Amino acid sequence: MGLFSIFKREKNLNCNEVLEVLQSYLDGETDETVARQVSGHLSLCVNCEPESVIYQRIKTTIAVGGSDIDETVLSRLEVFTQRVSTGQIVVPTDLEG
Amino acid sequence: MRTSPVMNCVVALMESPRKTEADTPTEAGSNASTDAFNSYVLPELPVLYRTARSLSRSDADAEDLVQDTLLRAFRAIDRFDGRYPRAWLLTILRNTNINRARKKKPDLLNDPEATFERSQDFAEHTGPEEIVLEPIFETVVLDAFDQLPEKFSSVVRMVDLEGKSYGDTAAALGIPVGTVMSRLHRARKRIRDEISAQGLDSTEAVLAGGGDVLFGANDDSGDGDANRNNNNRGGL
Ligand SMILES: [Zn+2]
Repeated sequence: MGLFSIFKREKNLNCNEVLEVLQSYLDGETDETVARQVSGHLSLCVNCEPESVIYQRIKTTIAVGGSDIDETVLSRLEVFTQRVSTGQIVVPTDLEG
Repeated sequence: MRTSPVMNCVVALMESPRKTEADTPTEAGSNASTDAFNSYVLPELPVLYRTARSLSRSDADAEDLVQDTLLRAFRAIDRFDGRYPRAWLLTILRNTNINRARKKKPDLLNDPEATFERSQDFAEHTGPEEIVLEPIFETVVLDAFDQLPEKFSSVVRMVDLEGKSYGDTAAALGIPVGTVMSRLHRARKRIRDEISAQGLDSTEAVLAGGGDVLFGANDDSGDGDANRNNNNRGGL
């Protein structure tokens, strides 16, 4: 991993440096030294920490919900919608309470 | 209506002008509401299902959640004025999900009586059109992801969905690792900018919203208030 050799020596990263490697850090693509420097900075920095939370949640959201939708599910839901709209399916009692 | 300061992204407050009729839900649909319902719902099914999937533990749960949402939505259709159908449906979806989580895990709540009251409120006075609507983090992300040009979305898909390393992604796409990284940065930045544009990037909104929506149980903030509010309105 020669990409971040600039950070190899232990030092305090500033915010710009952290934001520059944040994506790689979240993706587990930084080496241990950089990872330690970034997490150290994040634990103290009120600017970068929220950014990392947002980006992590973006990653998680895509990981969970981003895959393509199965067309058969969509067509089932379309049929269901039409049945609901014509009163063929009504709210069952267990949904009421 | 009280609104929490973190709801700095109010889309609309939809209040029905026909409040008295609103308390008697129609069971079978007239032709007008059939057409309206289909026109509101059909285009939003993908976004509903995707959001449901991001809130559910399995695809089957997600499908169930969408179905329950549609049933509730249809019951409330006469009280919906037709503005912002997506936000309206997503609000119902969110509340349906919270309600389900409460039922599944009643032990997570401290006060069983309050829980019971709240779920009664919700059941009797489902008035999602009267709730202050906020965009849902997950929906905004997935929407923005969908709108990425293919060369950006393919990189995000490989790294975040398929769990590929940068190296494997580069090899699969036949591009340098540096290009993978710059596309990834730009793609995520676009999504992140959309989060800002929707006012979802205050830390409280992200953290609180995430906890409530994903785990659904310990919600005593926005939706609880909204439900109580509906109760008050129902008594008018
Ligand atoms: Zn910083």
